[in-house]
Amino acid sequence: MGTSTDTGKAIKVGVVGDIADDAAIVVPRAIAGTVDDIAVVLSEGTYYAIDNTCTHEQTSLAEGWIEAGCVECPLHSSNFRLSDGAVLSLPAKTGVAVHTIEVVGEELMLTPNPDRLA
Amino acid sequence: MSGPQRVLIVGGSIAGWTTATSLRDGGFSGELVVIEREPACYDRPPLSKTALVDDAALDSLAYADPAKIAELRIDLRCGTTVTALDVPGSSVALDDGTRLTGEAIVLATGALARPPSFPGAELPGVGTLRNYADVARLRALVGRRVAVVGGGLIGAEAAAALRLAGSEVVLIDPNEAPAARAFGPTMAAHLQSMHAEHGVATRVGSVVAVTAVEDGLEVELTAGEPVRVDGVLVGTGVVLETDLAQRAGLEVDSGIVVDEAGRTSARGVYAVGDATIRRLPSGLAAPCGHWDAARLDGVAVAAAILGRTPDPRGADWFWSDRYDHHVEVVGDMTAGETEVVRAGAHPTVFRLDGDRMIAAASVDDPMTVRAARRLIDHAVPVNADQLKDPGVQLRSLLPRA
Repeated sequence: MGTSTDTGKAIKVGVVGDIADDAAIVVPRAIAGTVDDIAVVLSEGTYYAIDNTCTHEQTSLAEGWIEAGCVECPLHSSNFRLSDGAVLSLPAKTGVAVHTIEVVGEELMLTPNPDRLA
Repeated sequence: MSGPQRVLIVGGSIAGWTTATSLRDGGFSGELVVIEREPACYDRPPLSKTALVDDAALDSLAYADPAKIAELRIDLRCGTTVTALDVPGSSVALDDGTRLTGEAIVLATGALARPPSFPGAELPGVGTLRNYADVARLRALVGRRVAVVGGGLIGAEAAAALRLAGSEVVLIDPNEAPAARAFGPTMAAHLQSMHAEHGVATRVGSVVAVTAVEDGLEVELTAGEPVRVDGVLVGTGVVLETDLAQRAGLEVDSGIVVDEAGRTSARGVYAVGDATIRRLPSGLAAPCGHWDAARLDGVAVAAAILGRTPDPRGADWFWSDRYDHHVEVVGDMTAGETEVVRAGAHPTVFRLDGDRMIAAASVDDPMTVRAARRLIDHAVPVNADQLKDPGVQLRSLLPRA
């Protein structure tokens, strides 16, 4: 469980090469200590981390179509921008939270958004 | 170029609402009035699915809350009907006596459920599904005996939602495999087979009459025994709302005729969504009626009003959710010379013209249709062996950017 002492603490979630381009892995909430699972996404050479659950009908965005820095929900095609989680098209009305992901050496280090700690 | 100062949008469902938000996204800073006869601007696809049975509040379906509407500076007139369009005067008349003028007027009038014509259609317990108020009424049928008339998208989804919520459902349609025009015959037959698997009885035929009997309603069919139910949900298509356009002298065929940017025959008047049909180089297209197409109409018309060229349109895409399965279709499943089927838990069906994909349909495999959408729009040559092979991910057939 996340506590205030966890805030800002980075977790290793993989290494470079674990995620193919335009693909994602899911970091379960139990491991991240967050209220939602986290999708760690690679698109066009950049890593992103977002809350994994679509704000419309509760599906896993990691299963969606990832292209050009955006992910399209696998159910109803709402488009989310990976850099800030903003929703760019209906039917979802609200965006998703973003987290910090950094490449340190070969390691992918995830720092959960303090606002999303469980 | 001096753009419009005020835009009037008649109808605030997906096409009209998207027109409004796309105008703001595109930098339009003038006045924006949306006139909507319903009590809110809300999303309709859930009405035949989860919202039919889960007591979803209207607010949860609304596109925006009052704070967001204020932030978008949309002058939203809900519960208001436009009674007339005056093209020379660039104005509309409202049922509250108001007259509004605007340099651009967008008709997003949509469609109504086609009213049933069989005797007994007026009985309590018999009704159509189009609006939130219909859903609020139909929820009384959860856990009861229901006849669903029409096995197309609305009927099949409603039958599935009611069945999962515990209703005893009979689905009636004159065709063995309804909605073949939307899904193509192969996928339509597969989808129809899901009903029996989930305990929904299917009957091939039409309703002759509905009569009130002591324990509910009796539905007499053109073939076989009558059906005893507590309620009848009729989903047999729509009637496009073209009346306003017609009375104003706009070109209307089976729908309000528009070009690729949503312009009608009248200068300054645009139309979007279900009420429209598109003029193509090959002639008038059939009405589309799908959510995503209506949304993209709104995006295109906003661009046109702002003096920009709308993005080219790709193949139409739609989804249908039933029995916890997610169906997706891109393109015209009745077109193309050949059909290729990828076998699996559910078939994936492709339509091809030579080496070009025309359409694709999948169940619980949306990424195949998302890839197909791009293969179609970019005219990427494909071959049947790859499409048939479940080991080939369709995305791998797209050229890398």
